[in-house]
Amino acid sequence: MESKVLGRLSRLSIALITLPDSQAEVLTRVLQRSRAEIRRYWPCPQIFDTDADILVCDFFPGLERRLPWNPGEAKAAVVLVLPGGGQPDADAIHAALPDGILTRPIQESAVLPVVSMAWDHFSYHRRQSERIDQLDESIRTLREIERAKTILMQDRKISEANAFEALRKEAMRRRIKVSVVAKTIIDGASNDR
Amino acid sequence: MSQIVSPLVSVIEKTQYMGTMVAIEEINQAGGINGRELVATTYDPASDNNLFRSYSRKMLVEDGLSTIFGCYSSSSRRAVLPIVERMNGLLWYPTQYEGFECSPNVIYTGASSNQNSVALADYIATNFGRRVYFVGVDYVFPRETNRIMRQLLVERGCEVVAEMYVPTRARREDFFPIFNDIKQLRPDAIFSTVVGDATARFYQMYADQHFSAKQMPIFSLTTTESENLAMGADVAEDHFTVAAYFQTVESDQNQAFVRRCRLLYGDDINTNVCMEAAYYQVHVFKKALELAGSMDTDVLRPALKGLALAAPQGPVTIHQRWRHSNVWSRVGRAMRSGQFSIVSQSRSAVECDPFFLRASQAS
Repeated sequence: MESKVLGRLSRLSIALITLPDSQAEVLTRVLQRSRAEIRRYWPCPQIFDTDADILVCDFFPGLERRLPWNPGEAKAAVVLVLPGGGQPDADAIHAALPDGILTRPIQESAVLPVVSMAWDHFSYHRRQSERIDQLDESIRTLREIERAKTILMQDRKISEANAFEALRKEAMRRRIKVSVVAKTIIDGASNDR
Repeated sequence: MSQIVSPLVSVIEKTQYMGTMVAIEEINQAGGINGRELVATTYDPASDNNLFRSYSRKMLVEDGLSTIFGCYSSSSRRAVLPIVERMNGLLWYPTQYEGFECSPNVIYTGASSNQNSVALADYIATNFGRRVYFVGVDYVFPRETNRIMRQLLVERGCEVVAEMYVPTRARREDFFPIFNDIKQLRPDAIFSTVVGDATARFYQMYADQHFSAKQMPIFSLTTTESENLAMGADVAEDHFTVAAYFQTVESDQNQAFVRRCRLLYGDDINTNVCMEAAYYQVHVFKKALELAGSMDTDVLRPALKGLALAAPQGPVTIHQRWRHSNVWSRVGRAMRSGQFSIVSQSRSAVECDPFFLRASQAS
């Protein structure tokens, strides 16, 4: 059976932002085994604007300011490569909000498991965020329809059922969503006050 | 690919399994998908949600599978859902359900509430009296469906005279208080969300109590041709079901579907809405896989959006936004043969609206 993990990585692009030394060569060689598209960058630009799916990046304090997104809105999975020796600054590492961590000297057997787990966590979080966004939008839409119905019921002295029917008919006539009609009514009522 | 069923304890789940296997057999006979044979791995969770959890985990983690066809009840779907979402699998769920859910890891090919409850409420309000009695088994689908149906019926000027529940594995004695209640209240129609093996018991006892299906019919979203035969077609006669599909649908695709089912399972087999959805969703999967060329969920999911298929029920489409099927809506009256006479149907597939954002006020 082919590896699901390698199969998944093979469709991704990985940006490797590391000092071009022998350790970077090891990383590149191992990552290339996954058949992912590897793009190498150095030095790290002030704002690292990329469409790569995974960033594998040498860690340095302030790295988070070079990533092109706000916390909670990451567009790629981030794997930090920590320098060997010394005491790592846990707060500075946390500020970059990594999905995975590798340490120099690179242990070859750890690279693909760490990178694939980072992608797995990142993509799960992204799917859940999309689901929450969709639910939020649905709740907002329901709320707007309720508010628009209340406005129509008060303005026209009609029942709730008739208010909804009026919204629905208007949406059909204009070939737009009921929620758009509802928003127009709410906006109109706000402007009148 | 994989299939979860619990056929040993449920009439309807067995037919769902059969529908899946008919499609797999048909696809393999025609050369498979991109030249590769489909091989099903099957587990029987015996209607136990803990087994649904452990088998879905086994499929996705140990067996290396990524696509699961199955689950009948909403509670089994909800049991599997966190595992499928975390492991990024794809569950194909062919049962009509209560709506108010949209997971990126589920393809919903049965009707959601807006696609059948609205038609049911319209039909009762137009053709029967205003007083409706609710009976259901006590779990998520009946509770949620009744919440929606109550609002739809009230909007149409009807009154819900009672809402009663029996245990999921209801025995005869669980129904006696309900029949006494019905005798006292004399509603115009019964709306039943009794599902599974208790369905036959409920309808048989209803007939034994000398309630007349002509004068006080039972309406259901889940009583299919298979339950009709299990309870006895004479018992089922003149009760109503609203569904996307009945075996009596007149189309070339349906004739071919029924013929294939009988070739595989014998001339006595009857098709039903669960079997049909289980069948056509495998064909949707085939089309998507041919397009995507990969079983990886992240690759397969985008290929499904807007995908259309000539199903036995008629043309269906996977909705771009909701990943639910746009399915047909039909009202059927059971005949003495156990089949349904279609007394009303939509002009085309009804657009899914699982959160009732568009179709009604049931929120």
